[in-house]
Amino acid sequence: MAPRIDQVKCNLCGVCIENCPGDCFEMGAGGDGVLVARPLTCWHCGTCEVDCLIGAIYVELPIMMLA
Amino acid sequence: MAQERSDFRCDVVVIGGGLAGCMAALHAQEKGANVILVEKSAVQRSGAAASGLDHARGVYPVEGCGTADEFADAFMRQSEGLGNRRLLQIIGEEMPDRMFYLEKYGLRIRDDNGRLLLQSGVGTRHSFILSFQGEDLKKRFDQALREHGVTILNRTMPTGLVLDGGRIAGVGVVDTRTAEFSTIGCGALVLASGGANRLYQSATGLSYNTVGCPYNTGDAYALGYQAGAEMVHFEFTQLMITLKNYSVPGYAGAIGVGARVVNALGERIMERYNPEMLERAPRHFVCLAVYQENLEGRGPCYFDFRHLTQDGLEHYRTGLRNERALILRYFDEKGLDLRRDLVEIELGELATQNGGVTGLLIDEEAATSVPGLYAAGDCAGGVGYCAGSNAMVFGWRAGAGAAKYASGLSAVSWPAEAARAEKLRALGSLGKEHGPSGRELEAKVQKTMSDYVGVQRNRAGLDTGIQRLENLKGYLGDLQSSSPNDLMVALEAKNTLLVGEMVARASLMRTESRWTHQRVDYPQPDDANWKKYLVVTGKDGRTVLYTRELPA
Repeated sequence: MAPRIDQVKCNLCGVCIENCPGDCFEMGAGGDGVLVARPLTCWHCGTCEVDCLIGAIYVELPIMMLA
Repeated sequence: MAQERSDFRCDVVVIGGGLAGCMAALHAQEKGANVILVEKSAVQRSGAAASGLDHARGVYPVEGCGTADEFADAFMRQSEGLGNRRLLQIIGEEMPDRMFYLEKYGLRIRDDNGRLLLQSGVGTRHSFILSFQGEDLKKRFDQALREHGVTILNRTMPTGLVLDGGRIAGVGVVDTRTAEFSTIGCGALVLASGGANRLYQSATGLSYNTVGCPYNTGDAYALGYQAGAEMVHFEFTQLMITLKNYSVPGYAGAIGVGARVVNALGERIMERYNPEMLERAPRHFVCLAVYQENLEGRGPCYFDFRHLTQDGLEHYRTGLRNERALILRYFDEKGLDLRRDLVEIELGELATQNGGVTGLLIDEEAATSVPGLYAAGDCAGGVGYCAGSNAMVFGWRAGAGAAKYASGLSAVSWPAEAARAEKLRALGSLGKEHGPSGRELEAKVQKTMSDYVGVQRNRAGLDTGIQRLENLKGYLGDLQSSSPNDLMVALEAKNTLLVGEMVARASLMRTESRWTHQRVDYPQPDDANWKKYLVVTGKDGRTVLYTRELPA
């Protein structure tokens, strides 16, 4: 569902948190890394994936769209 | 959680940092005003063009492009004659300069040989559409705003206006991540925060996967209502065709390269509805045709790209890459090969009509009927459908108009009493332990709008819908929210409810069928009584409606 973060690749730069128009992302507390805190408010605009400088985000199209 | 933030003062406040708001802020600052831009998302990726823009309508200095007169005629036709021809002409004339302005900030508007590239469009035989590589358009705007010294308040939502003797004196705002409330005193204010796109149940079942930007929730209309500004065309809700189960704007791109619309029997449906213009008929004809085909059992309907040349297909794919690259993933993951397969489409959810249709009436300077209040982009109305070009041209003009209006005035801080009252009103739901959430309210508004104020309307349904919406108003004082994000959703839901009421009441009053407003009980257009604007606004907290002649 919606954006998926590769926690191994993610360098916690926070660009996705800064840019997402739907405010879907949050910095997790206590070393949890970046969380997709509000996946249901994803527009599926894809900008998080485009803007992630190290390719740690992949927007997974939900079964609602694909099946 | 809900703390005081410092009060701000400036000459011009711009609400919304999309195409219109950015142009307004830039130009107001260039005209010497001190500008604050308020954006609910973040400017570099906000609004209808968050993920990019691949085309812009205008009268470009390229062979084959029509004239400004032909441009205005074409977009008046798209708007069933209910637009403002002079304003459309201005859009056509001035759009090239707006593109050349953005080129200075690094936007790639030319091909590798330095040429401007036009594509043919919808609803017109002329080429008025410039194709360009605008996937990073909003980042270029963000850069320009910072170089200009505009103060940007991202993740900030407007809550209400303060009026001083009939003129706009300021706006209350709340930080959507901290729930901090602030007031901004100003000389003039530009509304540029788009239409209302979460007004109906989404076509896909994913509540934020809407055709238009789902974060645009009628916030500008609510402020216009509070100010008593004249607004029009709420009954002309937006019809849009979108890919089955993935709501995206992309219709113009598909039709522009020559896609056909076919039904389950393989018939090219527009041969039945508009044999002369076929798919190039104004968009609402094609949308209503798809609706009718489904109704009469000949659906589903499809885009057919199979006859296109390799060049045509490549042009389509390039456009998608520049505007919404994820559509290519949708095709790939569904295993759709456009050379071989039909692409199923559906009617997207309704919304207020973007692009200069539903919203605050404006004049040539983008001034509304309220002194000091300007509007541009999707929240400006009565202009006629002209998408992003309407936003950029009138955003620019709104910036100039607002700067001029504010130049003789000194912005004042809000009176303490007014600030306290607005804060209480805005943050009242926060921390309450019981009561309906903003989400619940929004879901019921959407259900009501979909049930009673859909594509086909009648008096009984509209009466019922209005009654349901009136019932919902009774719950507004009980709303509860448990986080800053929740608070934003609750404020959005309130605005959505208000817009729903405006749409329903306007739809009830317009007793004819025209354009996207279809009354089963009044199936014909009625020029004598209804070739005019239907104005909706707020007066002392009540919704009032009256007609107004179209501009000459």
